[in-house]
Amino acid sequence: MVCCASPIAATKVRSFLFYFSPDSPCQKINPLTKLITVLIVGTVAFIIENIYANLILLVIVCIGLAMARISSRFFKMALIGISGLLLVSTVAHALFSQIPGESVYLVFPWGTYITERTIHFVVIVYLRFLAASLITLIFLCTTRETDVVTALRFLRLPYAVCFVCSLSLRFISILVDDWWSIVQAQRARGMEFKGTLIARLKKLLGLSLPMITSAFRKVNDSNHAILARGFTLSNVRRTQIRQLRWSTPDYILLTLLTILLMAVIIAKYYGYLTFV
Amino acid sequence: MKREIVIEDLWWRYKDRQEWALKGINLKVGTGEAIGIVGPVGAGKTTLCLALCGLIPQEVQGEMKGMVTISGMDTRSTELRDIIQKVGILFQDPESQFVSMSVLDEVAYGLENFGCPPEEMLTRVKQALKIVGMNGYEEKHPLELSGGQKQRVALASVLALHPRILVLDEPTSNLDPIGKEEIFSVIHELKARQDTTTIIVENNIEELVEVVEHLILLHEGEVICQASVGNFFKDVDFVKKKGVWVPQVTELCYRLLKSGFLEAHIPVTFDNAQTAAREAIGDRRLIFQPTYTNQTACFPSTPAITAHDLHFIYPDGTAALLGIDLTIYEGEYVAFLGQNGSGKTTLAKNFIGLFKPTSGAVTIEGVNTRRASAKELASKVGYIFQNPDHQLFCESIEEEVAFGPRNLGLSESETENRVREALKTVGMLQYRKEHPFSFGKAERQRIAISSILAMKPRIIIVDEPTAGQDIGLVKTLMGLLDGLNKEGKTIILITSDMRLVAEHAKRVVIIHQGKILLDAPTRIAFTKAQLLAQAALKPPQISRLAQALSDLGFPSGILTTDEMYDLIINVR
Repeated sequence: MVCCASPIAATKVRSFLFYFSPDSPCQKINPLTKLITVLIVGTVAFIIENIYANLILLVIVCIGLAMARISSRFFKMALIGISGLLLVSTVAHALFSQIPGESVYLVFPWGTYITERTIHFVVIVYLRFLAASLITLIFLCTTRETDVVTALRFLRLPYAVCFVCSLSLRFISILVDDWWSIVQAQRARGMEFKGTLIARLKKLLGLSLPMITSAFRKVNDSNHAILARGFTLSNVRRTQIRQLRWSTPDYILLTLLTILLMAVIIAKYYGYLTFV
Repeated sequence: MKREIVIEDLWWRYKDRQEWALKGINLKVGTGEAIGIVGPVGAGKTTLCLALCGLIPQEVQGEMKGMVTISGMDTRSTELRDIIQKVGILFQDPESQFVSMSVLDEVAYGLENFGCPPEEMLTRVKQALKIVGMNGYEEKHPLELSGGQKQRVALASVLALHPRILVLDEPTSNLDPIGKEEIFSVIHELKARQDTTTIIVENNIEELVEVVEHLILLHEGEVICQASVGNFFKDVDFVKKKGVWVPQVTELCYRLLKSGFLEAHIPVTFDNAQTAAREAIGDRRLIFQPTYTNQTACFPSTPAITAHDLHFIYPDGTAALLGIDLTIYEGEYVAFLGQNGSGKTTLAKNFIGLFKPTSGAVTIEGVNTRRASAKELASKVGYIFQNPDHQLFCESIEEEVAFGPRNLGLSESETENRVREALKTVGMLQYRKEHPFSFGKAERQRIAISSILAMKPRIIIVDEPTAGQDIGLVKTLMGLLDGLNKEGKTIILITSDMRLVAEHAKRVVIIHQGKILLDAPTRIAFTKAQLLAQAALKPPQISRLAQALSDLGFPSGILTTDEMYDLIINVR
């Protein structure tokens, strides 16, 4: 039986976003545990509204990050992307929130204002998003697409849902390849992405035509290829070659996460961890 | 012998089409037989394959007459899932039939659908991967595999279902030479087991004749010739006229037969041809040793493209070119050879400025590509991509062809002149108002070519123009390129078809692992068997025949069937 957590001979394993080293401790836990971890940590990050609690959570996530051993070159790239997203969300909060405070620093023409508590809140928002995106990043960098699909199937989701997920993941890489060939074919004919926004959009629209034709043909081919190997949506008995293996690290991690989630919920219920 | 496949008067018409795609096909195939199907593009080969596995008529829409029986099951009334447990089909495109995210999942895909118990599934998957030589790759991601490897995985996923009948629809036409060889060696192995009935549609006739016993010629939906491999090429001229490739050695022996040098028997395989050629010569001797002119020596012209210490590294860190020094002169006809991933396409894309060197420099007609705009480069170099559908997007053919000249900022009257001239060159002028997609692939490729010609580049790069095409189209296309070369245009041909290289290109540049492995006149390049083997390339069949007959005094630099024929008929 092949397990997702089985040691893999290759020096590097291809994950969702990049390659990770097979001896990373993240390999010892199964993909379903990883998926649950992301969900719980994400939920916790959004329940707590206390700057210290948020900081502690961020530290925990960073320990996870250190253990994941993600290639630093790639991590820098991902961090730039995340920073952009974080900036947008924090600025939006700063611009459009109305949190009363003792001193008002700034009043915007549209009626919202910034107080010392706005700044406090924006910091919390920042920490929250950072923790949530980092844990997702760890997940994407250390999990293979095929493992995610396995996890979904073990959640007893309908077969059609799992299969569509798997197939769309596959098609993204096929279509990205096609897209580049198409862009190059047009650039080879002297097309330049210059001019007004409308002009550029028009050019983009032009490119989408061969893209759609090509995608259509590929979907048709894939359809034949899966039908020829017994694909059906009707209810037949199916088996799975990959099994989930539950080992000690999984149990430890899940127990810790449950305790964390319970503690946070209870604390929140009694009014701690709430932004006042 | 038991009849595994029986097709009786099969007619098929796709939905919304006037024309019948298959017209009265009759075919009987016995258990363990191997049949090859050949024919021009659009003959109905893929349609026939789909009918053999029940996808026609069950999943494809259209109208069917007649009957197809697979292992005793009528394909109209049997559940598709029951049919495909008997018939496995491998399609042409390795990319789109790979639907999972790892090799293991891909090979197990069919077995999972049929509810195979996990332990048995694993045994079967391992077994199938072993047959195709991909064991050890179980955990690989599709992006980590080459086209040939993906195709072998696709074959394994079909074999894992233990089909009694195997249908292979152009399994190698999207692959590079290594990929082709990998697939054919698997087919050889399967054939040795003798328990599978095999139907192969294939353009690579020289390989095909080595693995099948019978050949069927499909033409416009009809079977117009059906014979054992030995008898199929009785009339080579007829077969060629119908758009089918003929092995070079067969063509040679056919001509020798017609001029009385051979007895009635025409060999089709390489070994038999070698014996036949020896017989034809007998104890006579070659009387003249040709002195072929050294073809590069006559190029004192100006450089068209110069690469100096060119390195190229992709953004993901893959180093594709590692120090290329190359000069291509005006008016040359150069072939770039090498496997997928060798860097030959990356090099060509540096030659039109689609990629800019990571270090080093590329100069096109004196202009450094780093300092030139896409527009400027496009007016100097034309790049014809492999798939015409990746570039066609306009409402009408004339719009499509005018797209490039307009990008160059030419006036409407000049654009009109160029459109007219370019369409005339490819013979499509009368259709200028029509929609590009209302034409077949051959015409679409011609439209794509004319859209490049309209920009009047002095250098033309052609990327795999003939992959999966039939003889007629290839001849037209190569004729067109020869004509342009005679007009003084520089041609760079990227291909894996050695026969085309031998017949058309004057100079060969072999790229291997990002470096130039060999840069020589074609005639010399094909004698360097060891260097070619290093890049997993083989000289054309006829050159190999001449080399195998070197003990009789044949020069090793033979490039075409004509040259070989002339030598043999001049024995005394």
